[in-house]
Amino acid sequence: MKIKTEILGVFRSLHTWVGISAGLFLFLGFYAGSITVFREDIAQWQTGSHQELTDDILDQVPEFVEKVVSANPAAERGVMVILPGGHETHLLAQWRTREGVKYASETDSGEISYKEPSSRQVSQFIDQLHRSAGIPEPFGELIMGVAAMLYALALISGTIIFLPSLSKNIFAFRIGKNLKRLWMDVHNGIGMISLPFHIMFAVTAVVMTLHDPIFLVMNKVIYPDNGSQLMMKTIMPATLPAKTEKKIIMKPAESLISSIQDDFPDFKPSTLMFSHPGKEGAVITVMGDLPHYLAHRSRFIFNGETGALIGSERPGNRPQGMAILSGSVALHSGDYGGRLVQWLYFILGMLGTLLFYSGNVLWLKKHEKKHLGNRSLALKAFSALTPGVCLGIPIGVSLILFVCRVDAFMQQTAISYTNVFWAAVVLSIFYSAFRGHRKATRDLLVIVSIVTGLVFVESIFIHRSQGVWTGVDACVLIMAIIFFLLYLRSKKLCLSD
Amino acid sequence: MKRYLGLKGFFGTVMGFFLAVALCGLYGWLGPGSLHDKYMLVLWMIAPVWLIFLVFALLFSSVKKLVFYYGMGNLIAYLLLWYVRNMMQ
Repeated sequence: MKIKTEILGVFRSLHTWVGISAGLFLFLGFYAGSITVFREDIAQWQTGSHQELTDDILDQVPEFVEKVVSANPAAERGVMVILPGGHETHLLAQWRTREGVKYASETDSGEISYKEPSSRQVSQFIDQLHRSAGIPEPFGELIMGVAAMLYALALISGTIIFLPSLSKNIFAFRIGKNLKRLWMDVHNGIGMISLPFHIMFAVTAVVMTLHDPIFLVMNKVIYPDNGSQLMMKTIMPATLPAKTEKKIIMKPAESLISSIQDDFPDFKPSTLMFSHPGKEGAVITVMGDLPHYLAHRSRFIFNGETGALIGSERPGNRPQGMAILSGSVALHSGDYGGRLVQWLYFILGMLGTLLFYSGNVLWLKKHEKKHLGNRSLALKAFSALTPGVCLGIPIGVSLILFVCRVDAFMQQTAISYTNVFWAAVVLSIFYSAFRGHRKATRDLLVIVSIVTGLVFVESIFIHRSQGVWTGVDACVLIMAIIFFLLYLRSKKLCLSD
Repeated sequence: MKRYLGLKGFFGTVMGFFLAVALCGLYGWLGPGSLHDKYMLVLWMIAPVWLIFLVFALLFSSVKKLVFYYGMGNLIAYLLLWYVRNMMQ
């Protein structure tokens, strides 16, 4: 295919610029995102316990809600109850107050604990890294949103640059003396194999991170009265009963769920939402999944007093827009095809990190040649950042995986994941700056394989006393081996001297 | 063509975004199904359309031409949107 050289020139500059400016953010997004695919498994691996949702637990819901609401007046407006089965091992309530979101969970002894649970869940921390690069809100998501835009541009420009030589170079993998050629083949090969996967990520990530500003503009310019009616109808697709302060006895959640399961036997509830609980006008929303659909997220809205179904959103019965939303979220997070899809996402995601790393390496190789002996500050900074960030992140993640179970074991919450993770990244960057990127790459590869291996060694000690081996342990071991093999090969791959 | 890529990128991002919002808004009002039915759909459509306008902006031979064409596009799209909103309400 022939493309005008002028156009190719534009896309070449574009590809370099967006790659250099967003590559490292995207590396973090992909590394943390690949791990996030197994968020529920990691949550279970961390605590060593898993609790399936049982009828007994559902029986406890009304009493739990009553206890939480009577002790916390702010929860009267609305309280969400997350059921065990996924992340949680106990019923977890959350509600909004002026100071932020508050949490309450039921302990084994039946008492209510107000500790914030998510801050100690390592899977949630990694998920936050994926969503917002660990940068405080609202900036984190916006910055990742810009990175996602640049990523989309990199994909389009990269594909166009590659088109003229596509038939010659596609799936070529030339192992030989010319290592730049090999890195180029790796970069092109991964980019082409996973292009549809990457396009889907780029587009869904832009919407997921930038929806707030997009909503703001579209509501203003497209819709009457700022889209507020449409927004309300989308958030709550039902006519609500009138609210009063009269006390009522709410229908137990268990009976509502079994009424759903009469029609949809496969329905798996995950979350309950109580608005105006315990009073006339109460509404209970049951959220959950209908398996065998891509857009599997569903919700059923009930009158809290009578138990009558007043609205629902599920495959086959929802606005086009909600089907797109649910389908896109499932496509982005890979939770629609069981284990096979999860592993595919994990592998393609990890290959994605290699795409960004190889892009940086190619840029470095090109510019080192150009500026032999006369290295600019930008080049120096970039050659320290590439191994520092791309190996600092895996070191940081492995360290917090190690720390999180020391924590659970000692029942302490002394060590901050944020500090550990960022210390690892910053130290790796400084180390690369002082040691030079080739030597640093080799050393950091040893460190990351050791730290990752230590997580596995820790598992051996923990499993001697409690718990069972899980896929997470296997994955950790495989990653440690891969990092070590990369270290052994680092000279050959020209990563180091 | 390679000159002022940054400036073209800036105008492509801003003007391309508003153009995408207006065109997707027109689809929201005129496309099949109710306004509510497509509310979320319009949100999801904006991002890919925006990206396409952004990429095309980079291929303009000059910044002046880009601003002129995207400006005209925006003007026409918003006039149409305003007309359609008033007609349909």
